[in-house]
Amino acid sequence: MSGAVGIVGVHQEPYGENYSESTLEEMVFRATRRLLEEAGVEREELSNIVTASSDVTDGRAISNMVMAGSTASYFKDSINLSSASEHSFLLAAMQIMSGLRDLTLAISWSKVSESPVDVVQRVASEPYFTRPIGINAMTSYALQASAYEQAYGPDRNLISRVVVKNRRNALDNPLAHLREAPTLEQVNESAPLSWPLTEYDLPPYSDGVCVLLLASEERARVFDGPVAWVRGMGWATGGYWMGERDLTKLPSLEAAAKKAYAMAGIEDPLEQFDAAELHEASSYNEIMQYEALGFAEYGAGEELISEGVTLPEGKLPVNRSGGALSSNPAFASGLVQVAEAALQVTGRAGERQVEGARRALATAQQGFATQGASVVCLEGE
Amino acid sequence: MKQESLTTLQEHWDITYNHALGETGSHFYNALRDEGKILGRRCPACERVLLPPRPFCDRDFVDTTDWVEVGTEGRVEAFTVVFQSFRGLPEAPYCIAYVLLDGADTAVLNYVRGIDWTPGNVPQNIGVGTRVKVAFAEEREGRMTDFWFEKA
Ligand SMILES: [Zn+2]
Repeated sequence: MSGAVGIVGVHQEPYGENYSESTLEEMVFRATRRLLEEAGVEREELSNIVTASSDVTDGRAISNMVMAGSTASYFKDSINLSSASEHSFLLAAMQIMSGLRDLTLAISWSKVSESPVDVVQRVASEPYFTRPIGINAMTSYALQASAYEQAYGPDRNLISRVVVKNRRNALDNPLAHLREAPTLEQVNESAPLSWPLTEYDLPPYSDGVCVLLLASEERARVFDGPVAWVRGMGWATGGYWMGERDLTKLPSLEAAAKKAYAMAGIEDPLEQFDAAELHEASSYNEIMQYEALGFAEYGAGEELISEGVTLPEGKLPVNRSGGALSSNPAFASGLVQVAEAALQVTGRAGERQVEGARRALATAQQGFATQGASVVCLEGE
Repeated sequence: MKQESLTTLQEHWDITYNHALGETGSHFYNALRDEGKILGRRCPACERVLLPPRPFCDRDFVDTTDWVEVGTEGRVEAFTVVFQSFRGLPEAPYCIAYVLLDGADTAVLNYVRGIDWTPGNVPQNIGVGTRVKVAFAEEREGRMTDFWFEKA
């Protein structure tokens, strides 16, 4: 296949609460440096770099200027995106598909411990009508969960089992931020945060860096290790105004999946994928993603939980890494899901490996209540 | 026809950042505050002494390895005299300059004080190549403002 793109390297530093021993610049440098060492690549060999970051989180306007040294960008072609972390991956892949570039880093980071997350998120809304009332990730995903709850009345035990599943999965992921699994009772009884979401229904906030190395088919052949080939990519931005959206569905994710599936030749995702890493913004949101991705009919997503389909031993293990409910480097989440899917199809996921995984799916969401979404389909060799 | 008035919505943000200085930045500021020393970091590949101290070298993409105490005199590499005041910064006029301290390979930014900054006098009072010396604050708190430059 001409214009093929492969992921030949993945590096994530352990996700955690507070990287106080490093500056933001050091944290990103170390992850990037380690990826190059692990991949056996010199900085000089890179054709270019695509980064993605949130300037308000970083407290640095146009932060890729300050971060140039950290991202191996010194006198290189380097572009920064502020729309979404996984967009760095998508742009890098397109650059290689175009034939203009052949060995590209995609890097995203979040050092959320250094800034007030609630303020940063509130700045993301339009200042005229919504911001005075206040919307953030928690409340927007609570509005989404509430809409879903009202429409379909899912079994609360099954929602809670999403949390139990992902947090148990994280016990096998040495990079995960939260590595203690709550019981079903603990989840059911956890403190309410924003109806119907409770403490356990929402992701933590983690400091972290995720770095991927992408190569053209020709360059990928030079690497010894297994390659995760990009078979499909799709992304879509929905409307900003939540008041005109159907919050019981994830139309941008559905649109993104349609494009990615068409490119990858996926007709029956539940049958054709061996593993999925979904950027779940809440426990409800994972169930809603099952429906938008075509794993289940609308309102029937919970059946995948009740039937154990998405458990590690199920037909399509979802979030074997522990997902965002276990590690959530805020803005950098999304690229993390692509990284974890790549580890799965290359057999490099360690204790969290889904045995024999050849095809994997990654999703990412942006904005309030899934305004935008991306889907990536990967295949091993 | 009656003209409707247009409205502006004023908003004030108060965002506190806690920027971790890491080991390198912390050691630099501790040495500055406690010992009145200015320390640079040497890159093992290009052997440059980087000031401000950096934990890694952008060019060689490796960790820096050694602390190097640099001199307290140096030469002006670039300067400007600022005649407009900015919020949170000194009353104008004042001078900022990049100074290459003796023993360092990269220049560091700070104020040049003790000079008359009347606009007409600027060219006589400072230029690229002017020798300056470091002056330290008596009460140091581990900030860049703990030192500045004066004519040598
Ligand atoms: Zn160097």
